[in-house]
Amino acid sequence: MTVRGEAITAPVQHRHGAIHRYIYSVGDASSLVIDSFKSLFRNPPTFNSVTHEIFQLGVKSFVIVAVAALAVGLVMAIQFGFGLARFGAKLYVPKIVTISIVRELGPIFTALMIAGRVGAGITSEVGSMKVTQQLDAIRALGTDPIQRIVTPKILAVTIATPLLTIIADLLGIFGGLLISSTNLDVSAYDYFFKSFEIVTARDVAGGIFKSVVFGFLIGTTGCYYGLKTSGGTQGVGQATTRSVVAASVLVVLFDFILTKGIWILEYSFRSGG
Amino acid sequence: MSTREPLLKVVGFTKSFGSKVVHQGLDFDLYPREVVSLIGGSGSGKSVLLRAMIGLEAPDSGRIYFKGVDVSDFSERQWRDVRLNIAYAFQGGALFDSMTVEENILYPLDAHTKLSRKEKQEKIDEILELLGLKGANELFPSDLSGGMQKRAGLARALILDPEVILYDEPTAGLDPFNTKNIQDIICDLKAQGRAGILVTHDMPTVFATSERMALLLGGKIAVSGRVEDLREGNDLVRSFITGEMAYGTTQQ
Repeated sequence: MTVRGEAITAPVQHRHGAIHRYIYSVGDASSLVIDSFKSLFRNPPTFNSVTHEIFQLGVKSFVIVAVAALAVGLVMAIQFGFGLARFGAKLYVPKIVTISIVRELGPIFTALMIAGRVGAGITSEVGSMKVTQQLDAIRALGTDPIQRIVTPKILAVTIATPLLTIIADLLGIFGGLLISSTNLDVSAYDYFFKSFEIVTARDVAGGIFKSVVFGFLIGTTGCYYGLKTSGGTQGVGQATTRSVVAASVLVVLFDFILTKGIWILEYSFRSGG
Repeated sequence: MSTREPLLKVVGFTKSFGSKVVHQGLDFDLYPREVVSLIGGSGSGKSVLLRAMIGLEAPDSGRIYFKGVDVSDFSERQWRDVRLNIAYAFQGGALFDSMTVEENILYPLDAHTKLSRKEKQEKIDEILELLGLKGANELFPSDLSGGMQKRAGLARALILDPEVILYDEPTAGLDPFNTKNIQDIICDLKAQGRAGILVTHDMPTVFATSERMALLLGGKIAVSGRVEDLREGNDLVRSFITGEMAYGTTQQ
């Protein structure tokens, strides 16, 4: 007999090699995703539980994301500014900074920040609940830990990540403007004009789409490693480390896959149109 | 033992974790309005058996019946209905640490009842008074002593009026006053008609609360019977109580 909650939360007891363990893990994680989707439609989490999680996971990440995004904008403008100045091409800085941030750096830096802060938080919270039998208590009280704990968290991170990415994009572009207007003799008006001249709705949509996928991956990975936690407080620490590493690697990997996919899609649109 | 139908019945229960065999073909039953104690050494699988009875642990083989219905192959969704009638009092309370005592007790009420807020509040105040936790509504689990956490966990388990209560080491680590308090609560609940299974090493609590006891040995129930009969009249039980049973004898 397989009890769903038990199958997911039971520690890995496979006595096989690394490849088998990896395949089992992928299977378990997929089963968690399926269960979360089922729960989302059968017993949707309450509005309050999702907004509470968005506040806890998303709003509280604002400062770290904002600082990182601003720094990225500043650094990019400096690097490209002084690099392109050699060729008399400083005027291209706004376009390069803006397009890079909107399409690539905004989504990925935001996701990596959230993977570190939020992914770790989710794993340690869920893992602590596992080792202190609070997840068992949820089941023993006739309720579903997936519906009560997992789905609201995954949903919250999936919603919060693109929202934070939009803020990060704006702050990154603003960082570029600060450097361009103070160090590169590019006026704020020219910066804005050239920035928004180059960016299309497709660029923005592509970046936002990637950040939705990143948010989903971070939430799922955090919950998965939390549910698999075993071995007391030491186990919580180990699970948290694994979760952050896995989420970061997945974000980078999926960034390539999605970027390539979006590029192919854009190319076919252009060729067709 | 009785012509009555057992409320909870376990037949041929087998459970292993990896190469460690915990139970091999164990049989056990619980009748209405009785408390049965499960005793045995550490690692003998008492808690595993208790967890299996509420579907938190799946048997490798064997059957579990609740009120005559075979629940062994129930899905998680089906178990949720069974769990409304079988409460589990966790050893450490397993309180949700982000919630106050009142919110913890409110949790099952919100999930399973359509009572008004006032009716829920009345039930919460009543159960907190019964368990000697009056005034603890707004405290968080971290503010409570070990004994209070156990009682708050018990309050949460009892709030839906279950027919069976599974007590996992309810007096472990408690001082004599709190131990007596828990014993009185178990006896009061029994007097109200609620059956219980008590997993414990605390023999005074077994004698104070239980009609029957069962000794787990080698993955099976080695001895089972009325407490007063076994207390002095059975060599195995006596050697367990007096500590003469060699360490590891009751473990697999």
